[in-house]
Amino acid sequence: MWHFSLMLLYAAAAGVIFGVIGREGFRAQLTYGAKVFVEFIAVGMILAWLMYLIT
Amino acid sequence: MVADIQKLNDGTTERGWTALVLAWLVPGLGHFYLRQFKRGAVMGGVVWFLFMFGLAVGGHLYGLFDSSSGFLSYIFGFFDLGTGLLYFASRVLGVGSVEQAQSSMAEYGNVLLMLAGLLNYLLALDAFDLASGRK
Repeated sequence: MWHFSLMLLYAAAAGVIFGVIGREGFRAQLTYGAKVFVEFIAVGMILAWLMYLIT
Repeated sequence: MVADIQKLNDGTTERGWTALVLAWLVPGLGHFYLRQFKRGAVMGGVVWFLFMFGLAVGGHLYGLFDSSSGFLSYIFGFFDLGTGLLYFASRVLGVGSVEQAQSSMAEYGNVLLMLAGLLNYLLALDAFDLASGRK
C-alpha cells in the first residue's frame, strides 16, 4: 500500500507544480494540475504492469 | 524574437537572475521576492514538504562527487542539489548523508528528495520567466 500511496504523493506534487506553472488562472491551473496528476498515475500503472509482464 | 532579446537585455534580466538564484537557494523565496506570495507559498510548500518527507522516511542525499551508485550518483547529486540551501544545510548537519539501507522506505525517500530538487529547478525557471515578463 505504501508503494501506491507514494506514487499518489509523487503525482500530486507534480500536478500542483505543473498546474501552477503551466497555466494562468485558478480554474485552468486546477484542471491542468488534475490532468497531470491522472497522467502520472496512469503512466505509473502502465509501467508497473509492463515491468510485471516482462519479468 | 528581437523584442524578446531586447527585453532580456534591459533591467528585467538582473531581476530575473536574482529571482532565479533566490528561488534555487530557498524554495519559494524567488516568488516571494517577486511579490507572488500565493504562488511561492504553494509551490515552495510542495518542495519543502517533499524534501522533509523524503528525509523523514530515510532518504539520503547524493553528493555531486558521490560514486556510491556509479555514474548515476553524479546525476542524482545534481538532482538533489536543486533544493539549494536545504541540500547544503542537510549535508553540513549530517542529516540524510548516510544511506539507510535497513529502511524499507529509504529508496522512496531518495526519489522524493530528487523530485524536490527537480521541481525546485522548475520553480527557479518560473521565477526567472515571471521577472523577465515572459509570463
